[in-house]
Amino acid sequence: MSIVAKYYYPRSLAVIALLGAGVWLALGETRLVWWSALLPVFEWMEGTAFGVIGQTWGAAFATMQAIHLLGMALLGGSVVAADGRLLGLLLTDSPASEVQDQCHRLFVWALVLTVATGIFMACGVAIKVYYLNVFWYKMLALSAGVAFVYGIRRPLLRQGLDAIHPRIVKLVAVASLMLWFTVAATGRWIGFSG
Amino acid sequence: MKEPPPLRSNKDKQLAALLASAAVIGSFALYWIIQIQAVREMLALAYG
Repeated sequence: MSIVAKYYYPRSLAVIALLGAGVWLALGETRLVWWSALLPVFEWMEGTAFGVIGQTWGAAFATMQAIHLLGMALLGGSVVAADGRLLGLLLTDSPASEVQDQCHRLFVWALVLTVATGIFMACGVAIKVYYLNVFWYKMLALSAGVAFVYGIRRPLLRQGLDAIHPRIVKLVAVASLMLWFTVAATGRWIGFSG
Repeated sequence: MKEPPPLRSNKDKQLAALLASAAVIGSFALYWIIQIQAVREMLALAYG
């Protein structure tokens, strides 16, 4: 077997490349250039119908916020149940694959609901959130969370828990809990800011 | 000997999961340590 074929792990290489890109962005000036370039987009967002409704009609904003929080509660519940099962702490009397499948179905609906209402809310306070560091951390955590679910967690668990090293299963569960906790906590922080 | 593709794919997914999870846990610890430290400093400035 050639050396390239022996060490060709495409998914792992993609993770290493993404982590490298993340470090490069964190240490370099490129992110500031991108951040400046995004200001017109946020100014445009405030001028859209969503933005105008969000700024002028408090009841509409509050209703969307309530739905957003319900979506977050659903999302958090599905993550805690699914990862709690992987850690052997919750729902241990139900088959793990069944718990994962049902929680994932709920997770998808909750994610759609949360992102849709989140876009509406962001339009209403676009310039405010543009200047908040915590908003960008939330977007980073959200993107990482979605990439983690669809790029790492789902493909791994699809093989069946018996085929995976137990410590890797637990590590994935802990990482998933930490990611979604950060998404929720930074979202709450946006509410406290300004 | 050439490994059967499913086994290689499984190893790849497990290695990717290990790398991504380790990065997430490390970043989580770093981010929250910095945030908690910043809040502690602000509280110290406000209340001594």
